[in-house]
Amino acid sequence: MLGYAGKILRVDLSSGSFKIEPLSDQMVKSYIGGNGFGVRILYDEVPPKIDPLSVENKLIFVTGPLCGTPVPIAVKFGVFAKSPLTGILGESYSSGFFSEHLKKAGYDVLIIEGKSEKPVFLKIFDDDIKLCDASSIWGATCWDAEDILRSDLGEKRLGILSIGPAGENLVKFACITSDRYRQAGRCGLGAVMGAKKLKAIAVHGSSRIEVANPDGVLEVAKGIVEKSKSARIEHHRVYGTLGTLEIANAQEALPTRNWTYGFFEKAENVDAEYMLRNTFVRDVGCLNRCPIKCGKYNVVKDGPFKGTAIVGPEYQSTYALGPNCFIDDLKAVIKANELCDKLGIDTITGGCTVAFAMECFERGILSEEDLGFKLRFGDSEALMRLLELIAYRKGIGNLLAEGSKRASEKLGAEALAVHVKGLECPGYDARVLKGTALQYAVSSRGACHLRARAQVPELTGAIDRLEIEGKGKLVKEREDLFTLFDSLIVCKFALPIFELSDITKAYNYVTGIALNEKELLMVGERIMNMERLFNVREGVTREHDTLPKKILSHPNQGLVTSKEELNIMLDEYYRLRGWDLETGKPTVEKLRELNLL
Amino acid sequence: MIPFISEDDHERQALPTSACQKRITINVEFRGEAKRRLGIGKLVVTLPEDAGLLELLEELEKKFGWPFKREFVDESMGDLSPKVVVLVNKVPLRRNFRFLKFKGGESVVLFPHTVCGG
Repeated sequence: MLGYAGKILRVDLSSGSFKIEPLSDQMVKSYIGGNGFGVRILYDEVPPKIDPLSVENKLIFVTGPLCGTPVPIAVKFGVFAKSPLTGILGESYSSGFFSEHLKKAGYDVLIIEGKSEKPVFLKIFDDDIKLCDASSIWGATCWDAEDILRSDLGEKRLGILSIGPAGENLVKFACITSDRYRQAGRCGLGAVMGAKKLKAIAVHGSSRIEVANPDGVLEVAKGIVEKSKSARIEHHRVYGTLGTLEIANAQEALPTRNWTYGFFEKAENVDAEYMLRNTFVRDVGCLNRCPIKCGKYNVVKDGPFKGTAIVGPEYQSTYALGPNCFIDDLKAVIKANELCDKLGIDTITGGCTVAFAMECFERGILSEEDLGFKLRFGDSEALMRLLELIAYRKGIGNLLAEGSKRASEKLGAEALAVHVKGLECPGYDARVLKGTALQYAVSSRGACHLRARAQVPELTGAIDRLEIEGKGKLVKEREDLFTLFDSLIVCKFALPIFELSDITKAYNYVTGIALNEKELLMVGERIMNMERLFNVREGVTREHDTLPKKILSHPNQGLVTSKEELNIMLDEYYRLRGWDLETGKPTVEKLRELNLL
Repeated sequence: MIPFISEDDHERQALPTSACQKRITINVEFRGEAKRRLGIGKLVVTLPEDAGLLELLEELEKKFGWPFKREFVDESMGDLSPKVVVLVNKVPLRRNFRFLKFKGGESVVLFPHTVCGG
């Protein structure tokens, strides 16, 4: 089984035991790896309708066939569970040394089952697998826990995943931190880890991943390094993801003040130019290997947040903690981002939930008495205070730790919560980007900007952002493509220099399995349908493929994405997907075509 | 090396065009690489009536000596380069940019080397 470690490691926290199982040929050929493995295992092993924080939920860590090979953009891993935030498919990706070490330790997949009585961390050093007492680091921030483990374990070359206080306190949008500065942020999978009393996972692997055609793989790797120097990716290399902010803002597509506007007047105080002039220190490539180096190490050099240092902030974190909270100070955004990283909070949902609460305060739905302080838009001190309360579930933080959907239902403020299926919307304004609206509505994990990345052709003018027709096709085709990225697993930001033909070559050289472009895309489509099947089993129907009220009826530039527009796009999308127009379920014919029946 | 010129200087200095033609003024903003290299963010450009993007890029090229046309237009495709974004009145210019004729007072934002991420 070239390109794979060939094994699944299954750890039962309830009994403290583990077992190693072979990875089947059928699984490899039908699902490739990454999200294909994750969703298939989740569907097969997690019973329907369970409480995501119960002992029955499983936490599945996956790598892909390209991980651990010289392909320099294959530096990611995926995490799967039923999401405590949304109650449907929970899926999140991050980069770091975890994926490479897990695979080199001999495992393509790690499945965590059951629940420990007391806090533990999992140590995987090749075939030395142990559950160790984590009482001394329970309560520590992600960063402190990681520092202690690195020091105690006596091995420098490690991939470490950890949760912070938010995960321990079952905050529904707690993240899993990887190697300090990277997070599997979305869907609250850190809370699943917390419910299992699993504080951290430390992995060291020392074997080699054999590939079918080593020279071919090196050729692909060299090609990526060479192409990463090209102008096609220069903006991303120079500015990082934050470079997107001024492009979105210039088109009034930057959600601001809890999605009241699509334009932030003070964007120049939080954009990438500001970052480069004031806080930027150096570029950071994932695993010190990715040649694109879109990570930006920033240090605040003066003022009240002096000394704060992170890799970031990324565009999405800046949107959520900055303009969406009406905060015009990048240094404060960096500080809030650092706080989220240490406490283990997803910056998108964290920032958006605070923005929701700020609007509730300004409208009198939440009072100073409820909060213990004033929570005005633009108040960075209040933002940070509330993030702390959320992480420790103190005061109003206990309600907001449930995410904006549940909090809004309790407060009778549903119209102010900007989410799809319970997952808060990323920072692309779906009132003025119609394909983006559709991708938020249909994405398997709730509002997601990464599965189809429809905002890219819309913001760059490659297609008409306000056109409705053709957006079903756009989203369907890009979902299948990016699902392929997530099965291999490679970074989606590399698309301009790693196109489908390159993917096909890389997959064939690594695994020796001869699949052509069409066959690979069909695997992407199969995985998308598995994701849908999981959600259908949890009760998702067409009526859940919708948009928040602010997008449907609160105009930006005089525009909304209306229910009628959404329905037209949904019809086109469902037809192309082969899903029933009434229910949104995959049809029997489609499932047969994809060998899912 | 292009000398630094303040934004204010450029606000005041419209670029010269032929005296015998009707003229329009366009508000141009540079972003990203263009802004960094040229050292300015905004300027007002005067162009002949009915001028389009190509004429604007030529005018800017003459003024700054920076290869605007090569950066923004992919001659092999006869199209805007796929790596750039051009906004006209906040709307991304579609690939049929050759049909565009500016009207006076319109705004143009030029983003070279653009890949949206994040």
